[in-house]
Amino acid sequence: MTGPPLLEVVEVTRRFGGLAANDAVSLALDPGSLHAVIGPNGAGKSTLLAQIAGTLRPDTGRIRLGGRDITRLSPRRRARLGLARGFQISSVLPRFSALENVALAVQARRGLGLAGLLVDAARDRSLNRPAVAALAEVGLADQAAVPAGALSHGARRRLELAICLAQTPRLLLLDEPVAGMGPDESRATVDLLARIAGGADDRPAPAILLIEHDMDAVFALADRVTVLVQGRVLASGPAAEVRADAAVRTAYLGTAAAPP
Amino acid sequence: MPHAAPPAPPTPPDPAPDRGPGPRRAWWLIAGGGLALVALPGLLTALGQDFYIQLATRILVYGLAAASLDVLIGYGGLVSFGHAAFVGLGSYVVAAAFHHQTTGTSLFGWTGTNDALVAWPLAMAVSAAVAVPIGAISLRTAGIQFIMITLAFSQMLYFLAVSLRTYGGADGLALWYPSRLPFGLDLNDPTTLYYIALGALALFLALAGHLLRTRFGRILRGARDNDTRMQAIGFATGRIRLAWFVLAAAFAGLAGALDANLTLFVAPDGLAWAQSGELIVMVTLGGIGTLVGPVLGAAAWLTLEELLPELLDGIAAGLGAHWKIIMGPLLLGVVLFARRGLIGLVTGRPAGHAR
Repeated sequence: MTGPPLLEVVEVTRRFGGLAANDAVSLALDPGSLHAVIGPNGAGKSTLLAQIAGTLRPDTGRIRLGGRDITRLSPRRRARLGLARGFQISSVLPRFSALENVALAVQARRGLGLAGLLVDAARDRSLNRPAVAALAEVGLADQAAVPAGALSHGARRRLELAICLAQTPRLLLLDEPVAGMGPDESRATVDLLARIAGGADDRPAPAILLIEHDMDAVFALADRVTVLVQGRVLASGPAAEVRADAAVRTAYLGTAAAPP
Repeated sequence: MPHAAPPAPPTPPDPAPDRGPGPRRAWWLIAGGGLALVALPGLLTALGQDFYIQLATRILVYGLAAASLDVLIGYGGLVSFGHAAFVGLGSYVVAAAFHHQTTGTSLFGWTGTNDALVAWPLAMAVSAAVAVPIGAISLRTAGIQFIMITLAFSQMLYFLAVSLRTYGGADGLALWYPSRLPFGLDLNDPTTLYYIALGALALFLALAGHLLRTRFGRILRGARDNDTRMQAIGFATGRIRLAWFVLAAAFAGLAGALDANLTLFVAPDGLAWAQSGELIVMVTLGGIGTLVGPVLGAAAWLTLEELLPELLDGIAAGLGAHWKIIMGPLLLGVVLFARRGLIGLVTGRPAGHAR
């Protein structure tokens, strides 16, 4: 991939008391690439993701999206710049239907306008049509009317993906998208993520930054892998290289990759 | 927290689906109730009970105040404990304008007015304007802090009213006569004020009911459900909440303007926290997140407040002063057994849904 990276994390450090959750972490993501961050519990993966999403500010270091410095921007402003985020625990609007959850993401992109004060939003086809398409893409079209709070764990996970898709992001951040899923559901989600990463007619392929413990999922999906251990980057590179790296094997893969 | 654990979405005790607000479910209640309300003054006059027109007007006025509060509590998840301050502010604007006009004094060169078409919109505007800084600061907090900070602001306004010697200080200010209306309408006729209050309430219910269904309203309801998610998809939820806070305050101000005309008296007590608490009780009693419910809540609360003392005094002289002994358990019963409030009892289903 040529051209400037879409996301640049430069020497980001974040401390909690005496503990450096992230210690001079650097990372770059090319447009359209799929980058996985792996590492044992407490390695600082979620801290890194939160800083990229904007819910946490780094102590030092810079974060750039599309060449623009976003280090001090709010999550809302980052979303406007094309960043979408899935949370470790699916974050949806429990009392709204699946369709409305996604329609809200479409609305966030479209803005309020005069229609925002005149039209019944639930019947607004300019919001609902893209929302239905996003739901169909994640396989939730038949549950569009179900309140998000009543969906199964897996369905809620996919709903969150549909919300992110409806944002038509340039960068998609995902925190353990297959966690808590059975083997079948996990495989289906990996396929879904691969399709999302490929883009669609009406939606350019987003770059995806993924935190994941499931190594099958990681190596099935990622072109590049960064290994975090105790807040520092242990290794970073093409997935195959990282998998072969001896240091990574001893530090992490050897134990964590074995089935429990 | 070493890990920025995403906050779990606030799970409501009753995960009833959000269906959006509106009269769909309770349409017959609104249609029937509306007709009954239009016919009420004639009925009361025919029965020789026209004294109760004033009580009915009070119910409509406080119904308006409670419904405007329900927008914040029920649809925004914002339990404002200072809403009465905006009602009282509206009353004071009408009273102050009246005071300056009748005494020939002026405020910053303004000689006051008794014209409803000037004083009432001004009451709304002043309440809205004061709500801007209060909302901007209060809405930076959530939950119990929000309750406390709105309470604190309203008490500040209360003490401001107490300190204003010009407007009677703690004693308040009496109006010699109500606001002047165009088209030969006369507010000295209780029926006229009744219909104007009814119109104001209907206008607010229609406007809020509509706006809550639009994109504008959906942001408020969405932020109540999960503010983190709303911001993560790019919504400026703080600004939208502020807009709704100001809108609710404006209509509270209108309720205050009407109340000043009803009682022909304003006093700092109207802004005090106890009054804000009563509004919250009306909302809870009638059904949180139902818009129409709080009007029922106001009706139940004010009617019992009027009738219970008389009833108890009939049983034993002096017992009437202790009417709250009955009121408390009644309120408890409704909250416990009709968890969705009176409107839940009336419509026969959980009206709540904070729709």
